[in-house]
Amino acid sequence: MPNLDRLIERWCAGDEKAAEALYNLHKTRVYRLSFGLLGNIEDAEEAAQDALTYALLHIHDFDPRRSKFTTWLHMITVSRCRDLFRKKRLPTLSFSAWFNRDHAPAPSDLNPEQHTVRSEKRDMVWEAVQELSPSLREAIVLRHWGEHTYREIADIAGCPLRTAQSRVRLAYRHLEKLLTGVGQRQLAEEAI
Amino acid sequence: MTTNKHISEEKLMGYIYRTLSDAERESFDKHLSDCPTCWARLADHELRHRQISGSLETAINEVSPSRKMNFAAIAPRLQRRRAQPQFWRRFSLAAPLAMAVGGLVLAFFGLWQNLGAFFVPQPPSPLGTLPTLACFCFVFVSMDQFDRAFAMRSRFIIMAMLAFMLWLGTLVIGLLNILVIRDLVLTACVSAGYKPAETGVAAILAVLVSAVIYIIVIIGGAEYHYKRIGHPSSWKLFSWTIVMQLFIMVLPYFFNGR
Ligand SMILES: [Zn+2]
Repeated sequence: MPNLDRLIERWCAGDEKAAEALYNLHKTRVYRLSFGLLGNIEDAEEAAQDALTYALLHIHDFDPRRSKFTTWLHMITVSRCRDLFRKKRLPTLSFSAWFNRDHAPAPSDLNPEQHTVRSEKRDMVWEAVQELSPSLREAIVLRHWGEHTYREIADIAGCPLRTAQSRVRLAYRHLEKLLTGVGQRQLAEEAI
Repeated sequence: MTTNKHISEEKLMGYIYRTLSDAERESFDKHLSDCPTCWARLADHELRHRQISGSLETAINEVSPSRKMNFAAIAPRLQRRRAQPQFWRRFSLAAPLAMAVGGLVLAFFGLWQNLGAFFVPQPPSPLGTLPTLACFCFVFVSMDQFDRAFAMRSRFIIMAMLAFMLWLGTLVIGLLNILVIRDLVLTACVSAGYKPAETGVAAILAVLVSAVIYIIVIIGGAEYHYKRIGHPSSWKLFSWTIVMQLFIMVLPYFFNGR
């Protein structure tokens, strides 16, 4: 595996091969983090590409004394995902639909692909995660999937350490609540 | 059974998530060693914690980027990188915002100056330099954002603000455009030797037609931009709209000279 510091140095000096290596080294993790936060394949790809572009464009702003490269990269990814999420959450406004609402097509909100991609068992946990508020989802994904420390989660999410800790706990409590009742029995069977 | 109180849910969660202080952890362990109830509670939580953790991990890790997501797709955006000094990069964030606000102030001021002309038709005189200057400001903003959108988009909130201000700008400038078109038609009719009544009808028709176009452009534009906040296509449409408005705005300068 190529040395990360060396690659960053080379890209800072303008070597595009180094940028490509950095990109290939991190694209899967950035993509997965985006997917964890947005829950949708197309959005995840858009956010991941944007985050990687931003990171590579602003490589001079990366300070290795302040954070690890992945933490910095995840910070950018989270911020891009928030932007995209905000955009998605805008109420749909359509004048054209309003003018001819008689023959406005029914919205097809669910992508069939998204359903078949995952197996049913973990869908339960996954769907519960999707119901969390964005900040709680960020916290739990960064903790469980990203295996970040609380300090790093606080840096990435831009909140105090205590807040990061309580968000993770709160997210867990919510998931627990959502899962008990509906799926406790299934989870128990799975555990045996 | 123990004599002291059972461990709180909050502490239990803290134990699992390793957010307890050393002292808290010690007293926790102590209580745990002789309280089967809390031991069971902890085991229960830990089990669920592991399940949630495992499910989340597999759910995320089973997706992989498609083949479309490759370095070649972002390489052109990287090449747009200009060697900008730190100062300019900070400034370049404020510049479009300042230009948009400045343009809006100019546009509204121009509208206010020309309020009288809405009711009294005039020979086609330029509506002052303010609306024209406003157009230049708006063109700068939309083209700058268009250019940026390929390398790196600004923050969503900033793009939304800019888009809204540009839209408001086109709304105001559009009203002034109707004014210019009406006066141009009036002068054309007069110099062609039409009777006053015919001239009046022509002017009203001109206002009606341009008003319909205006409403379509403003309302349709609102929807188009709203759905594509920050996309190059949105900035491009803004640029085109404003350039067209600017063109109408400067028409009286040519006819005045004749
Ligand atoms: Zn106890």
